[in-house]
Parts: sequence; C-alpha cells; structure tokens
Amino acid sequence: MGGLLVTCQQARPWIGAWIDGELDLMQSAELRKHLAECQSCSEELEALRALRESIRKVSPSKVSEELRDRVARSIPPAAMKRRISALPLGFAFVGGVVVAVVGTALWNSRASTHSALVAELMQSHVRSLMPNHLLDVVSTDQHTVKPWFDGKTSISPTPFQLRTEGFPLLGGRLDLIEGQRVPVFVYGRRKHLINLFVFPASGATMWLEDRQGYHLLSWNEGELEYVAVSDVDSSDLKQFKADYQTAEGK
Amino acid sequence: MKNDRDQFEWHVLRHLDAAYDVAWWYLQNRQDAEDAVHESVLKAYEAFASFRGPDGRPWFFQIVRNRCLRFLEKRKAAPMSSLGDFEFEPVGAEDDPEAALLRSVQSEQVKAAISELPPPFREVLILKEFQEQSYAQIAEIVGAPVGTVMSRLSRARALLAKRLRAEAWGASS
Repeated sequence: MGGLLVTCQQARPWIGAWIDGELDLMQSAELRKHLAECQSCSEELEALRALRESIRKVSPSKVSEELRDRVARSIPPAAMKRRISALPLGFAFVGGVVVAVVGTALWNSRASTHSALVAELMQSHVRSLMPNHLLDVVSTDQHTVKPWFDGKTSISPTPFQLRTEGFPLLGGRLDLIEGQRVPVFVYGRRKHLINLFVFPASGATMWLEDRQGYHLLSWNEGELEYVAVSDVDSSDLKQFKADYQTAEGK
Repeated sequence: MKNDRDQFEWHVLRHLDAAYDVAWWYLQNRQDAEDAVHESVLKAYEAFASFRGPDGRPWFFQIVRNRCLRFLEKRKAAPMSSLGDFEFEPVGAEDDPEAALLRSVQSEQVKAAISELPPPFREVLILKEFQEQSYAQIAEIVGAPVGTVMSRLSRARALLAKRLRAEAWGASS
C-alpha cells in the first residue's frame, strides 16, 4: 500500500478524534486519503459511527421541578430571571437611597467593619441554603428552640413565634460570625427563608442594605441587636421586623 | 461585566439540566445528584467573581465533578485518579465487522452498559457524547492532559462496544 501518507497504526487513533471534530485540516485530509484506500480503517470508522448512534439513543436525565425550585430559592431572584415588575425595582431604589443616607451618616467610621460583617452574614445565609446546613434544632416551638441555645452563646434571646401566619418559625442553628458564636433563628416566608441573627447590642441604629439580590435589615431591641437576612422583598422584611417586635412586646 | 446576575444566568444556571445529567452519571442516584447540583450552584455563585473565560460550562462542570467526587468518596467508591494512559483500542471487532449489530441495541442496554464503565472512562465518554465538550474542555474538567483524555475515550468506546456486542449476541441467539 505505497503512497499512503499515514499507516493504519497512525490512522487508528485519529478516527475517533476525527468524528469528534478534533483533527486539524491537514490531519483530516490525510486521514480521508487513508480511509479511501483502507478497508479495515473504514470499518472502524463505521463501527464508531454506529456506536455513537446507539449512545445517543439514551435520553438525558432532566432536572426535577423540586430541584429547580430549590436552586431558585437559594439564588437571588434576579439571577433566576424572575418577572421584573416595577415594584421591586422601586424598592431597590428606595433601599439604595436609605443605604446611601445611613451609610454616610452612621457608618462612615466603621464602613469597612460593617462591610465585612455584611459579607459574613451573606455567606452564612447562602451557606444555610445548602442541604443540611440550615438547622441544628428543628422545631416550630419557641420553647424547644430557645433552650437548645442555653450555654452555647453569651446571650439567650427568644425565637418568638409570630402571631401572623406568614412567617412560621422553622428552627435555629449556631453560626460563627466575626469569630463569635451567634444564635440564628430561621423563619419561612412562602417558599423563601429568613435568617435572623442575634447579637449583643452594639449601639448601632437600624440599617437596611441590599446586596447581590439579598436584603439585610437590622434593628435594636433592649440588650439585643437583630439582623434579618433574606431574598424576600424588603417590604416583607420590614413586615417581619414589625411582627417580631409585636411578638416581643407582648 | 455589565451585570453579574445576567452573567451568572448565562454561564451557570442555563446549564442546570446538563449539570444534572452529568451528576447523574457520576452518582446514578437522583437524590445525590440533586444535592450535588444544588451545592455546585451555590459554590459557583460564591466563586463566580473568580470566573474568567468565554464559556462557563466547563468551569461549572468542573465544580459539579468535584462535588460528585466528594459524594463518591463518602461512599468509598473506587478512586478516580489511579489510571494512566492507555493503548489505542479499536471499536470494531475482528470477527464481526458488522456495525449493524452495534446499532441494534436498545437505549436501556446502552444506558446500563455505560453505567458499568469504570468511572474514569465513563466521565470522558459522557462529557464527549452527551455534553459535546471538546478534548481541551474535558481535559480542563477532569484535570488530565488532552492525550490522556483521548486515550481514555478510545478505551471507553472499545469497552462499551465490546459490551454492547455481547448484549446484541445474547439477544439474537
């Protein structure tokens, strides 16, 4: 078989690469020339094509609605291309203004610390959405959730069950924020989650911040400082704060 | 980047179905595959700032693969990395040049046969045949040289063809 530029031995590994579209023009030309004259390599090509045909009969597994939902819940809505209505945009704008005002007025000196804290809270929130990271104690009963934290943190806040049904208590967990163990209460809001972090009061005033599609809302009550983190609308988060304060005031 | 969220949608979330299919082939269990994909999306979201490149798919698949390997580690499955390069092997058989036999197998048989491939061969095969990734992309995903990808792919096809041919013979006799 004189005149062939490539031998069978050289050609064989090229055949697979050829059907995979991995050969350059020169190699393809040489291989084609070889195939035209070589019966056994042509049969190998035919077998590879038949194999590919059979492999591609297998239909791909599809993502379940449940998983799509889980992913949607854990990634900020904008990333999931949710319906964009004027309302959330409006809130985002208002939120932005509040942050700007609060930012200059109160956080000037502590800007970097504050920003680091927000980043940590965000990470904790995102982490909590991973399987098995959300709850250490699972209960809708505040009398079960509260004692679980006894002796685990320096403060012993109460995870109030809210009177309104829109924010069910789901449980709590212990998290590490700024190197401190921090109690976190977890509430539901439709299919979304609200993480409520509780700190000893720092003297800071209420603040609201939007970051990467999440909202953070902080307020003080007596000896304690709360930060709620969620991807629900900031209006929902404000409602949550109001309900929580009502429950606390009882 | 004009908008991080649009970018994330384009480079990662768009490939959710593909990622799930990839994860399924590693773990062959719906629950584990779903957990692995969910964790991978969150991981990708956290790490997205560090993503550079024109195409998020291999990058995202790499994350999915790593997650799946962790799941497999927990199950104490066979390690992935202990294999080197292989000699080229033909797909066609000496005694049976009839490609028609390979075409005659049912999709369930093919699925079962792919499932039984050793993991290092299975992964390159599914990334090529189902995800249509280039050799260079597969090399990036599995962390092996292109030459290794090529030889594993050739070995995977030879093993699969042998297996399917046996199935087809079994069915016809």
